[in-house]
Amino acid sequence: MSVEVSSAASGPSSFPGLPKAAWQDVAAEGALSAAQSHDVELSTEQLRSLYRLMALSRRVDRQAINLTRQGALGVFASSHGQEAAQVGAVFALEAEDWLFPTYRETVGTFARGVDVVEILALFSGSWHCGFDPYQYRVAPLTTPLATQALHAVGLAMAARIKHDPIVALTFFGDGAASEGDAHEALNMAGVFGAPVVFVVQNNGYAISVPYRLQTKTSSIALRAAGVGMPGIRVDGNDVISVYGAVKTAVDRARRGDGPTLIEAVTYRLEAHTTADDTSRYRSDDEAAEWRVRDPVERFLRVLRDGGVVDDAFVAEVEAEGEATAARMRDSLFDAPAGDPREMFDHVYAARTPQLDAQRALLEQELRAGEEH
Amino acid sequence: MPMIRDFLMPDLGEGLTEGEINRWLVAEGDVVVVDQPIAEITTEKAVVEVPTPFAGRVAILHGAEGETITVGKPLVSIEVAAAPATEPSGNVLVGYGTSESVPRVRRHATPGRPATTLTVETPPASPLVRRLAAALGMDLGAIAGTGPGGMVTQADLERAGGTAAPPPASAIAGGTRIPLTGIDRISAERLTRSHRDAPDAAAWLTADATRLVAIRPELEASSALRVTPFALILCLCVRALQEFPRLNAHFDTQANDIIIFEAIHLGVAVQTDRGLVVAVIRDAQRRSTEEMSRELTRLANAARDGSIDAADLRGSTFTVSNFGAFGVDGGTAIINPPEAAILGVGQIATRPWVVGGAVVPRSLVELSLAFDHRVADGGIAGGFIRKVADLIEAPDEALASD
Repeated sequence: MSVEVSSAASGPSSFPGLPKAAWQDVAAEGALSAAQSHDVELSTEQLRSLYRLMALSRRVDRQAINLTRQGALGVFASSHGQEAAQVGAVFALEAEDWLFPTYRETVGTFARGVDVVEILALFSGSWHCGFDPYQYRVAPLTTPLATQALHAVGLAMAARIKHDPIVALTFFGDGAASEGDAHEALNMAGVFGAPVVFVVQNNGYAISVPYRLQTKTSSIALRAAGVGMPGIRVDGNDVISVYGAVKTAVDRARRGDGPTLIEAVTYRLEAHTTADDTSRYRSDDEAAEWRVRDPVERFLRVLRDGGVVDDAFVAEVEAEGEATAARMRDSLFDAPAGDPREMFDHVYAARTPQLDAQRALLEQELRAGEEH
Repeated sequence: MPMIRDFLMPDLGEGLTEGEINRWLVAEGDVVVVDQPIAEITTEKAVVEVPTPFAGRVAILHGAEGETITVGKPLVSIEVAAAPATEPSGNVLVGYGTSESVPRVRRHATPGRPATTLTVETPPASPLVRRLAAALGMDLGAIAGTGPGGMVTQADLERAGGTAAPPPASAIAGGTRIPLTGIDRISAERLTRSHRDAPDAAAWLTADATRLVAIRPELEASSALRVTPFALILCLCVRALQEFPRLNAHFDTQANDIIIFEAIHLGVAVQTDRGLVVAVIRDAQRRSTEEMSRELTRLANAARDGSIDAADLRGSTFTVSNFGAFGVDGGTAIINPPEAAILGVGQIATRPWVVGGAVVPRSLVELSLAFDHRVADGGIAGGFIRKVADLIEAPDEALASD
């Protein structure tokens, strides 16, 4: 069946009784409400834990940058400045829930309890994923943009079918939000009411592309309206707000009330990766403005004012950070390079002729290297 | 017992092959702690502070500021307090374990991984001695060092048969040495290659640009755009190239082939604070006068403020150099390899010119063409530059039909 559409070229009313056209306009973008306050339940112990994880994250991130500049890691994507967004979100998950991170979420993955040396195997190039995903319920850190959002939706849909009351949380960035996979994942989750929490860390830049060139809308959270799920925009540098928003979404998903899209507005204080030069696309002034809103220092001020932490606790965390950094150094700097030929062993159950050819080529390269 | 460990130049940008020592942050003899920044390294991508992976005393800085070090070669040698443990670390990387039964394969593709051997491969020597040894083709490892800690001295080198210091590059002592870096160094390599590889010849003539200068305001009025005479000459050059396509070509020195292109990707030499770059106006044959002006402005601005995309600096098929911008009448440009020719455009100046038997003031411009004689003979080169001049003298038709 086809719908006849009268052509504008046919001129003025073709007959006197032609009915008038009618339609509804949707505003260019759905409006965001004003910020509402919500009570957040966090014990003193939990608040201290949150601070500890954020401060350790900061130290671990610094050490990973150092190790990259010493040749131990091939590249590293820093989370400096995004600790509240990552740690606050992950903190709202239960042990049986699943996390689907990207290459940026090293500290979110660390906050989930994964050993940092195992996380960094990806960046040292020794292995695709250095930890057991099933042990931590954390999927491998993905480099292809937004692909993990689909994985999260798939896992969440399967859990619903099995009546397994778990939630999948996936991160992606403002740049990845433009990818087809992100749109597909959001729509699928909306259609099937999958228990997924989408956390977009809007850190201002997709490598060098600023947010204003990424989308014409004022907030990525507005996309929730287009896929029929609740949307939340939250200050990504305020860990209490991030935790509160994500906890609300996690609880909703666990109740069976479907997915939520959360935009955590934050800023990437370091470069996209260690192989990038920020001076080519952004001003120091802009970064300086965001340094004032440093999520770790900001949270520490709140906790000190509230008498939740004292100097002794802060010093203890700092010492733990130094010890962790030293362990990273010891484990990663002189780590065995491994046998690169092994990467061909786990692609298919039986190796294909193409893989064999690639393996032969690599062996030839390695021999040339030895003679060299 | 103290031991020397080499910190090898890391790959600081996912696939770089070298780094340049911008500034040392420590000196030989300094005591450093682990992760202390020791040098500022400039790569093709960024300037990076590099932290030392070892604590100890700085034994050797392997190069002077301004020197380039290949990834995987020693950057700094550090005398560390004690030998590191030789037993397996106990750290498990999935898939490997930590035992020594893991085949130790030095990966060709990642020479940046620091050496794990306990012996120092080459004996310590000062950067000067290392440079001397390299220049003389001598293996430092084969020379018995008599200096402190077995250090090879210059005297050791001479005793071992290194009879003379390498000939000095300049006969005059003193003077200020300016190492070529960044864009300047890349330019220098390209210019040298051009001079070595391409047997070039030149042709030049003076064209009467009076009409070209006169129609400029008309074009500006119709397009609301600032149109420079140079932009117009670029448009006319494209016309002439379409008539002489053999000059819109590359010469493949390896295969001895001339590759003629249909699309004209016009390179324009732009002087910037960071050196000379060639920005490329892609598919110039498809652009109107207005589009050409706009693209020229965009590229020149981007090149000058450093925001130009690397893709805009590659793939030209013919280059034009506007040395008239420096207020000179003419000159011979150096062919941008592997291209076949380069057109030089001098300043447009009012001078006496003979028109119809009378000497009258006219706006004149000197054109010069340097061309690879393997690609084109004098007939083609002369025909081309004559065509450009003819179009400059009577530009209305060519510019109007855009």
